[in-house]
Amino acid sequence: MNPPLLELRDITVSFRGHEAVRGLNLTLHHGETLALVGESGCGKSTTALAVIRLVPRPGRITGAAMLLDGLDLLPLPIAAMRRLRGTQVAMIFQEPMTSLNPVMTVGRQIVEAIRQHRTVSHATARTQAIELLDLVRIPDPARCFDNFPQRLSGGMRQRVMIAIAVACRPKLLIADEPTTALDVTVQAQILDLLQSLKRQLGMGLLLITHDLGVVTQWADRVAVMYAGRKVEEATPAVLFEQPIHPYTRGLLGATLWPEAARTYRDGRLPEIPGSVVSAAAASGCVFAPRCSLVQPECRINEPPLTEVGTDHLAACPIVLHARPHVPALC
Amino acid sequence: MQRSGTLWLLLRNPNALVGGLLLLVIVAMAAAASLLYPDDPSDMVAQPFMWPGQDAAYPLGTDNMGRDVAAGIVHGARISLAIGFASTAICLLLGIAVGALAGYFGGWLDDALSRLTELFQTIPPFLFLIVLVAIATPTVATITLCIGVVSWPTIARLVRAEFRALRRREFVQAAETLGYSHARIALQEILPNALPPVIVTTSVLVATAILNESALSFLGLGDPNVVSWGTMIGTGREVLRTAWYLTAIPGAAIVITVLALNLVGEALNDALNPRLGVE
Repeated sequence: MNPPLLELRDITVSFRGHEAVRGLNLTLHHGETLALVGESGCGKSTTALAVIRLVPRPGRITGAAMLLDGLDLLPLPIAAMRRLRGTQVAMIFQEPMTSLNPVMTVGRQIVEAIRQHRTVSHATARTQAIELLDLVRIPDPARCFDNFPQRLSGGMRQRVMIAIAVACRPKLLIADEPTTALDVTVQAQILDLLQSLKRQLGMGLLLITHDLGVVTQWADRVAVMYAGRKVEEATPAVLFEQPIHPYTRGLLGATLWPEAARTYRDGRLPEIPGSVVSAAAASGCVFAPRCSLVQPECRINEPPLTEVGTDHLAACPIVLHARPHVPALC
Repeated sequence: MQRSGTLWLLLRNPNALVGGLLLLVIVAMAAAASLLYPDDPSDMVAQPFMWPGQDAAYPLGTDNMGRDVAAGIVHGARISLAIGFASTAICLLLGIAVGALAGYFGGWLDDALSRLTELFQTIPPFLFLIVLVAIATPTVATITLCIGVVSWPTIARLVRAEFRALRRREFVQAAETLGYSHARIALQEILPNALPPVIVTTSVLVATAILNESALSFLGLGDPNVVSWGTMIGTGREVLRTAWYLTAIPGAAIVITVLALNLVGEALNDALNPRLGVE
């Protein structure tokens, strides 16, 4: 069997003693969409930046290995890493409004991205750029080519960002909250586009989001992160049917589900008390300070991630042992 | 598209129009100096102390040694503008290099370069300039270099601040994820975005450089082999009470040039500064 597209083994990202990501194991197969979910400050974006080795200073990445298609990225010299960025891994960001250079035309930015990694003539790059704009379903791509970014809407800009990201046919596309800044209708279009590009170009997609609605519809697998740890991993169907970890349950509980007739009219949504920050220095389970099911032993040892079903990992022995007695969600 | 917008804003602005036209006249005058007055302006051509209008051949009169004031003004424009623009170019080169390195890389390099910049800023620039020129032999080239060397900290600080702010912008981060090199990100992605305030400051710097050169010449620290507006004022100072026009005419030339540059600078600020909301 082929090696997985991306495999993180025991990866830790630390900022002067504070660990933003701790001992993370993550596997992403070819052609798969893996969603990373969690609230702000859980280390989702840091994980994404770690994969392309662009963690802001003074952050340091340590761990056993970070394999991209079998190649370990951790010991790679910076020049070799730079060659991989854009060609093997590319990334799109949350804010399409600020992710494009305001003083360069859209077309030129795509042309530059193509010519960074490929020796092609300007004319060829231009043709390719217009094809890319067409690929991301921008109407009248030749006209869009000469526009400055501020003339485009948010959705259009995000499409341009995607065009730039896939310009050199990367194997892995990291999308860091790609739709958070967009209208709901545009959100669906962008995610559909990512989905179809993924199939067309055979990419793996690492989708970072805090929107559980996005996860159900577009992800093949979900990893829930809390305070830099992966606390649960499953397919969306399993995760939504049988969430194990109290944090996952809390997240699901704090979401409106119009399909399940749970709307804002039914009273206040339950919330998870406290914030991620309050958990930073705790020993034992990182979620213990905010957990409603907390037991004394939770505060002593960090619970290991254990297999609780087919393709379902969770890190909460309390819920596992008491599973029959835990009240059902909703 | 954006460029024509800026140009349009400039043309609609009366300040820019007046400043630009004045500057154009001065530059044309400097360019045509050897056509208008082919002889050396320091030649004694007529009797001394002829007032302006006294002889049609010498419309601005002659100085205490019988040199043509008009020829001096025209040739002096050359020196003033040359020193003004060349020293500003040096200043920009140094300032952008230091500011960009400090703002882009941050860390210890930023600390070191910022301290260096502050060190230069603690010394009053004109005193520093006098010391430098006194050490070096005063020629047009050394004066230009010295003015550039004393005035780069302003640009360095401006560029550093812009680079620091832009460095964290998402489009720069996006450029990094595409595998662009540091040099390319700094020069192609960040620098064009950092330029508007630098362009505005540049016009003021040219004006300051011209003033500095005049002040040096006035103190007798200018290049003795060329006639500049400052030298002319210096010569006239000794006869200020009897022949005040000898100081007033080159003084007016400086005032007009500096005014033109400031008008252009202000108009550029209006056109390029996004915070003023001229959209």
